[in-house]
Amino acid sequence: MTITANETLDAKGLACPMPIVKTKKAITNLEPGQVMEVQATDKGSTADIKAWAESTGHHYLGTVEEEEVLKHYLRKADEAEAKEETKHEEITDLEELRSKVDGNEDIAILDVREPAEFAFGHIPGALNIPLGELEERFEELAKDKELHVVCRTGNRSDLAAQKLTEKGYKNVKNVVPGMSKWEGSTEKNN
Amino acid sequence: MSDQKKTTIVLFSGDYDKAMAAYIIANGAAAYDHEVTIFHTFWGLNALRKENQVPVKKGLMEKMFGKMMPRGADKMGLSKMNYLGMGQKMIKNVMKKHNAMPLPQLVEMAQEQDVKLIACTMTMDLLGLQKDELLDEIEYGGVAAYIGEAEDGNVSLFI
Repeated sequence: MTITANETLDAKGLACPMPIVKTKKAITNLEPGQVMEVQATDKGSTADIKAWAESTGHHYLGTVEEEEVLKHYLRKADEAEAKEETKHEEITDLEELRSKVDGNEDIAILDVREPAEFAFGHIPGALNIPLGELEERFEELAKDKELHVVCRTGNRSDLAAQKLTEKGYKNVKNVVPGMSKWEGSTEKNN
Repeated sequence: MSDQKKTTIVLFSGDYDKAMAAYIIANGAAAYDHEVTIFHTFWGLNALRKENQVPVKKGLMEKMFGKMMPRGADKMGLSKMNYLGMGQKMIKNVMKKHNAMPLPQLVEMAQEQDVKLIACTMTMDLLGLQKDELLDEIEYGGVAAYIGEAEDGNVSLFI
């Protein structure tokens, strides 16, 4: 699968502890919320990058193995996302959304996370438009359907829901908290 | 992430492989945004020695110690299978093949990552090592300097 990243780090051929040391240096150049691809051949790097990301607050998205090269995807921590305050009033919880998805109801799901996050697991049938691209691409969405907006923790989707309401979408719901707690079925990009 | 975590390592051993483990852990911890300190004592001080001979005034015993101990990280022997230095040469070749970083570069990398390297002054006296013989930009201290760092540390190792 092809996954877009803002930055790619080549750590191929390097042994422990270099992939982590290089990753730490490289991630400082990223803007919060951006995605980095780390290419490594060290077999231990998957466990290392995952543990490192958890401890440092960055978000480990997943790993793809392509011809002996491990490609790890990380999203830089965004402190603005940690705040819990949401402004869009219409919200729905994960259970409600799940019963609608499982019941095959005719609803639309918009996933506003980055494509790399989306690629490693999303609700079947969801459309991916990253928050940053919503301004140009919102017309891809049908106006007549009940629209559920989801992200990882409910913050980006909150902003997206507000923006869509401004654009004249009537039936917009922010799904809280988001994919980080979603237990229903997911799909991956292949 | 507000409270920075701390890792402190006591490097007592002067073996190449053990020092390598210490410096790999130190570099890894630094990448974890830990504040890292390596306290070098006894044979571990040799990892901080400059490679070239530095002219300093010494007594006979101190001169002998200076001659018998490895001058710098690159000259240290293995803890097992050293065979008068043959083992060390072999492992360096193997490391090159696997792209593992040799010890001197690990020390450099640690300094780049602001790992605090402390030399124990009491054992420096015992082994007759002087400040001029050790790397620049390191710190000097005694047991209190180590405890000061370690008492509110999260990871503490003796190697």
